Amino acid sequence: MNALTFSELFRLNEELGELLREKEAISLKILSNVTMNQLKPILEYALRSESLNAVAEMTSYDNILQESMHIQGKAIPVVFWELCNLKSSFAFEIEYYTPEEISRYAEKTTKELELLFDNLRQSPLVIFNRFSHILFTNHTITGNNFERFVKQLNDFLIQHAPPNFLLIDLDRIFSAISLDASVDLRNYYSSKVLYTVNFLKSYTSQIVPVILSTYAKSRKVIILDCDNTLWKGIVGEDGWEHLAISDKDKDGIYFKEVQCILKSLIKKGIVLCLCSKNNAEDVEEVFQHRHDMVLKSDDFVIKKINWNDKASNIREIAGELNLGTDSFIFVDDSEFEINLVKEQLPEVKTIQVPVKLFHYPRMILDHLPLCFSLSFTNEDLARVQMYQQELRRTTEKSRFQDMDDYLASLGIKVVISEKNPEEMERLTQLTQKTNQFNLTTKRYLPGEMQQFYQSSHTDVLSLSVSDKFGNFGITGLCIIKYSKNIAVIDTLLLSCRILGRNIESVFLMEIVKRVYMKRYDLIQATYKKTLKNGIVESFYDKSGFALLGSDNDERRYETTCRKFLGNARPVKYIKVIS
Amino acid sequence: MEEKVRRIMSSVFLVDIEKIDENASPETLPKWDSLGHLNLITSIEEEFGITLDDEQIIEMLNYKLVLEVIRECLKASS
Amino acid sequence: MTIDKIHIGDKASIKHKITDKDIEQFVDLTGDNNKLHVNEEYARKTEFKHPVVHGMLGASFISTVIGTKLPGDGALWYAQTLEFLRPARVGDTITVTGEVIGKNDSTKTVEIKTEILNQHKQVITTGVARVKLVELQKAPEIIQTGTDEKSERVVIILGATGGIGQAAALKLASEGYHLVLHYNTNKKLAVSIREAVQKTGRKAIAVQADLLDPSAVGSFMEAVNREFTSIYGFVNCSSVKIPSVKFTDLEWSYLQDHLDINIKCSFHILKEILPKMEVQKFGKIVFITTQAIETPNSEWLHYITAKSALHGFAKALAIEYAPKGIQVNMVSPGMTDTDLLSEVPQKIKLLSAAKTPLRRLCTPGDVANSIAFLLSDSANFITGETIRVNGGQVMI
Repeated sequence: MNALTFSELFRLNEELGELLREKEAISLKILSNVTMNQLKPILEYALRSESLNAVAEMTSYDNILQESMHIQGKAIPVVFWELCNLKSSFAFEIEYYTPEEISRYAEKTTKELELLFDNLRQSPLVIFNRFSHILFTNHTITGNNFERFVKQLNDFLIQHAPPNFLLIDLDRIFSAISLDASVDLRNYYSSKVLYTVNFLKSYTSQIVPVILSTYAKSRKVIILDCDNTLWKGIVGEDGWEHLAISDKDKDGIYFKEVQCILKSLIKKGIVLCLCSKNNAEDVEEVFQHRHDMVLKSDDFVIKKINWNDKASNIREIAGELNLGTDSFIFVDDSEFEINLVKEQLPEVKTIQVPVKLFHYPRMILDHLPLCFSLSFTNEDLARVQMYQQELRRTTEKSRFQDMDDYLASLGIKVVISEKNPEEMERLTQLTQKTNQFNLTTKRYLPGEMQQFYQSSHTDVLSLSVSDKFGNFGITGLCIIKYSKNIAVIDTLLLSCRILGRNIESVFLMEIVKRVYMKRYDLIQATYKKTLKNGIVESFYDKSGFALLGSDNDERRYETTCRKFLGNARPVKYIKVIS
Repeated sequence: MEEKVRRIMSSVFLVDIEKIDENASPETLPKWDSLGHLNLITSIEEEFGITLDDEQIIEMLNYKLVLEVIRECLKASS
Repeated sequence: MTIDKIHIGDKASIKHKITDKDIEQFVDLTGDNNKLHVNEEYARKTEFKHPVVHGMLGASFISTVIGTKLPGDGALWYAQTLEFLRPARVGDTITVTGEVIGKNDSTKTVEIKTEILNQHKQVITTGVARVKLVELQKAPEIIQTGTDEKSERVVIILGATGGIGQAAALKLASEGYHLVLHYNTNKKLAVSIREAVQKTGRKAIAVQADLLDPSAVGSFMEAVNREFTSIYGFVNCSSVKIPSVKFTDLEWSYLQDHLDINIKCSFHILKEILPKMEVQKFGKIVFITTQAIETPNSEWLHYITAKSALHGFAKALAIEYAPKGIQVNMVSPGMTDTDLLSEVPQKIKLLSAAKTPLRRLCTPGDVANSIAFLLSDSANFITGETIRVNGGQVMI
């Protein structure tokens, strides 16, 4: 919600409202003595994105007590009772009032509060703000009349508010986002709009979990990616021994703290799962050998370590746990995965690991209210075991939605360029670093790459990828060597970040086209097995190359351009620019 | 900039972007009332990173004037 | 002109300043590029020291005097003697004069002494022209009374190249009026408007005049009288730029400019036109004032003062001339989208449009329509009146 502009939120809220129209409405009534109209779309949006058909209604301005008489049934009142506006300029006038006058106001207000308590005693939940003086006292360290008045009424509130009243401490929001960001005095004086959209968003994120929990809508499962989510580094490329997990390693502390937070959640009955594109053995190695992992292998109820798309994996987890995906939180560092899940499973709450890692633990903390539960029972605590038992009984179910639709929606563009001098350094680096999608895993030094660039018998093609969310930069390389009438693919590699989008087959097709344009027909290629590149073992087989022969860890393939291009099926949703 | 303003207006006034033409004004858009105006101002300030003064808020009487006032603001701040 | 109107001793003259461009054009036209005329270096080696203007260039203005002034249209110039007494130089201002020295009523010929003087009153060319008057088979009436035939109605538009002037020209042409299109500097535009009007089948002439110079009024009216014999209407659309100036910074010249264009210019030209209208017992005059008279805006003191003066001027004329069948009315537009407002910030225009009940600025066409109405027979019983064309901004 915080990433959305107000106008986007406004529109999305309306659209969500349309989508959820058929569902039973959750009614919220906003009662206030300041103008709070912008709270309506924000609050509705926050609840609607949790698929509740929330309908917030502004009641008449500065008429809290009378309006509270009309609130019935399950409607949840949200009350903004600003003492500064008990009457116009009250916070300033009170400073010259006599003690008698002040106590008359206190008495009048407590009476009204008591009436309000009575009127709202039947509501399932009442969101009521503790009074705050800070807007009018933060300029002085000694107290003033208004501060004492506010304290007196807060004491009354705490002592007398019925149990269904949830008292929100606005000062916490003020200190989190600053007073300046919370109020807009310009709008207050012109139209009694006291709070900014920023404040309303923060306020909403505080109260929404509470509202959700009253509708049994809290999140119960957190699904995590591994690389750069649970630890810093890529196990498949860096090896388990080089991952940063604890404060011994640079950046490790962020991941350690995140693991600590997650560990504490297990105690509260939250279920943790893994969903990672990796070799399962690599991940298990981390658990076995890295004793500085706070989270242990057993802490995860389900582990989906495979190369399937994550939306399918999450659906399977839902099936196995017998829980709706609307109780899931999904954490991943990849924008691609996050967006795939958002698109295919919009009800899943997604958290993307922030680029600035020092935000990461705080970001997880900020989402914890989503797991908030008013009633905390032994059943919750036993949930982990229960799920594990349930798991044995369920059979695997795989559902597969149309991936192509999703991929098409991304607007993927690939740019193929040839011997661009500016890319030389990066391409050399790619040969050094790429382990998984790398057919021959030949490591080259800058000098060697330079020779390729200069030789007329060698093609060096780079691949850059972007989609509507951003640019991945240079993420692929192909080196082709020409001799007599044969073109040999010396190197073909792609960064793992872009897999799962069929970019590899587009790249191969472009490579073959180029060879053909150079009036070569015969192409030879090699797959050289390493510990890490199992993922491309059958890449050439699947691409229609003929196996010539194999020995030890090497397989040699061949095809002709004509045959390849004759059989190739173009990937329509990827735009190629060269 | 025009596109951005049109998108904002279509969002806060809940109409298709095609409805936001040169002549868009409170008379052509039912949701452009005082509350709609507040939402418009909030969004413009947020998305253009500007702060409008009281007078400018009042001057935004129609689409063309919204553009004009934003231009004025951006010019003053650059 | 007919022979009986010509008397021995009648004189006419024109002035012209000779420029490099004249020489260039003369060379282009005739091909006479004699180095004595065009080559500075060559001329230096002669007794003249500097290039000399072609003698025939100066002499060709004699044709202008005869053809446009004395006797004017219908003159058949059949003989001319010339003697070039002194050289003329680029930069000289020559005065070309014709004086009738003899006439023969039966042959309808006149003898005209032609003389060209430079600015030092030195005679540089002299000679005698013989001219025969070719008369129209049916002589036009010298003065027509106001005709009911719309197709013969002639309207003079001052400032026809301005935004409102242009719109008025096209509107009035479409309503069937012949037009005199006055302009001061923008000849190109004036010509294109004239052509546009002529396309509608109406007669039109474009006449240049700097009307702030009272002496220009005479030649302006001469040009009008040569083409048209009666004047049905007069519309003053001329104006000058309206800078926003605070009173402390205002100099009298700003006020003077606006008073001149509104009052002085109208004053002088109406001195010529009203007597004609009086004889016709018919005439319609329209002035353009401004809404700013009623809802003034700051920093326009010069403009508002002058337009208010014009308002009074028009009413005073209206009352004096009403018994003579001449109507004087005004159109008072709100902020109108023309070049005149090019210095007004876009935001002010938009705000003005948004605050106007009809939600837009006034267009030149709106003003033109009201002008057309006031000139039409529908407005025959209206005088001293102002039509407010301001989208409802002022309602009285």
